[in-house]
Amino acid sequence: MPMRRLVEVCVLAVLLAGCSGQEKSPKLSMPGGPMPPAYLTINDVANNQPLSFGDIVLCLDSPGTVVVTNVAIRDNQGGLHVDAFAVRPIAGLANAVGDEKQTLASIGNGFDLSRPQSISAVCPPEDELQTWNGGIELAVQVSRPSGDVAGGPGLDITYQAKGLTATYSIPFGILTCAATCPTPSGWVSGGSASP
Amino acid sequence: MLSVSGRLLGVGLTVGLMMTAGVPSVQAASTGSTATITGVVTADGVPIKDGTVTVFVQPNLDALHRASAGTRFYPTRVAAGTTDASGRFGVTPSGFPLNSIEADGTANFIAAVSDGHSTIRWSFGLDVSMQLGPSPQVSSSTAQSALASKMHRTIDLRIDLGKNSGVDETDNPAVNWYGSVAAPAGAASAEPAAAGPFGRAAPALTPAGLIRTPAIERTTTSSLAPTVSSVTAPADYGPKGTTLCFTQATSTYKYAVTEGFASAWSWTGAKVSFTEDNSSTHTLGVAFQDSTGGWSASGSYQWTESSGSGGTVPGLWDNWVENEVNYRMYNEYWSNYCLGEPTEYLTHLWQPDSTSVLLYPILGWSHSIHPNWSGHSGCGVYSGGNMYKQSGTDTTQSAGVGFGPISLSAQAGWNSNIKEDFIFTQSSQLCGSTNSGWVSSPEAEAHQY
Repeated sequence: MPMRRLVEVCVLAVLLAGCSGQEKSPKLSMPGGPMPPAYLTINDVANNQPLSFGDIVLCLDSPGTVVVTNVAIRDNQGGLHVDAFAVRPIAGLANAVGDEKQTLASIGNGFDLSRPQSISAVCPPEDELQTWNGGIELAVQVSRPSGDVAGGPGLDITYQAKGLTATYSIPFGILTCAATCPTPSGWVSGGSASP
Repeated sequence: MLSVSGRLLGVGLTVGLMMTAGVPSVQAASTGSTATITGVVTADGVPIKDGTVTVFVQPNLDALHRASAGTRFYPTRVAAGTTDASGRFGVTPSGFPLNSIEADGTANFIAAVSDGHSTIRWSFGLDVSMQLGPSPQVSSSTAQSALASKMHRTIDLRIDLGKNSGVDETDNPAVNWYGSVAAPAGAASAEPAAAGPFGRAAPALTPAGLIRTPAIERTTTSSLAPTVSSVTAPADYGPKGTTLCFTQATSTYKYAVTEGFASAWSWTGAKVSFTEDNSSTHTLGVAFQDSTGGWSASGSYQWTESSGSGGTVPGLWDNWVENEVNYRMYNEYWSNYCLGEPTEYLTHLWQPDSTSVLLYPILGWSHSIHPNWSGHSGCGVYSGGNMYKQSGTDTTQSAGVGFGPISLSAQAGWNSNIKEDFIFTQSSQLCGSTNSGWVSSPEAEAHQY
């Protein structure tokens, strides 16, 4: 009988663990918390010229894995088109993607557009921010089909985690221009996660 | 990683850094809304039990600035406590008179900490907007602005009253003061040093000038004069010299004291444009001079530039960006029980009084020794366009004040709008101060690539 009791307890424990084991879905985040506003404007970009930018370091707020399924330009003006996006670990790279007038595929070096863009890195605690080197770089390839100026003040990053779809909006603006870009105004409002 | 390509690009790429309080948010009030003063009191590392901590709020800096010489202010005691067996204390100031509140909802305090034999006094500013409630002096907008500044509602002090007396603040370590900037490991640069655009050399502030040891008075050897009080203090009053009876404005000033406000870590191919917007808030050190003429640091005060001030300085690379501030001396009369004219302890406190010059650039250091973070992950190479970055509310520019005989602490960025634009004319690598890229890092630097 004690053995049966023990089994019952164990079963109960497993069930409870199973219930409590419904771990919350990890959310996309950035080291140090929500990023402050930033933007990139790139001059002398011809229509349909591929342009890649990156150095957007992502991580998760809790253990797990998310898959980035889409990146969109928020409040897109001028029809800037997102042609591709990819992620890669940032550690060990000579450089992140700055502003590159080439495709992500041609950049390569860890970007693999044929695979799911998975992120499993967990954001560091605050006291480890200075030395943490586990970030995942998101890079985006865009093009401007027509016109002289196109872009928007933020990126909406859609991702899936545990079957749920969420969007992480960051205030990273992008503007491409046929000549010299104007200084965007009103692009300094904060971003937020909205899973 | 660093290479010298010399690739000449057209004028085009700008990277900006902006430190600000961010968007005012009422939600920010949900955490840490009450100003608190915590700390540990020791004597040569040994915790002091039953040490006294007495906190006074000072008149606001505008009221002090407007006061004619000889005017007396009677500071209000807003908190008092004692240390436990581990030397710890924690007090919450309350009961602020209206003339103590600064325009941005902060107030400046001075605390006297004593073990009955030795006393240290330390100045600091705190955001008290959440404890004010509706007030004719604090508009909702300024209160919200202060809300967004989450760093200033608490201060944590480590006070040693022993032979090696000293005070350290958790969020304002003395190593960050002006004159203590040291090149990080691997800072050597292959780039050619460039002559600065300004002929003035940096002030000769050496690390030895960094004095974080505050004035300490020991009642057994007190030389501070005069002592005329013969009043027996009530039992609930603290040791001698821990009650601030009044503060008296003087006509003695020290003009154009240099505040090392920020730095432009870049090179000639990526010049920096630095902007300080209206009403930016930073902290400025408070100097203490005892009756023997000895100088010491005595904490720092919140300092908000008046609305309408600010400006932009372009074309910087290896520069300090400084403000110049006028300081005024105040006589402070301390006792343990104030009645009549108790003047057991007279001290001279030098406080920031007014702004002399904003955004004065100087050639801060040799290009070859300022930070180069090319060893960090997340560096990016940029070659044509504009970039802009706004740092977070926690961003702190630690600098300092070259007061003359000593250096004082100074910090900026907690509740301010400070913008730094890197304007790239040649291929440059931009790196953050962490491995998380320049976007997420508190600071950034650019160098030739």
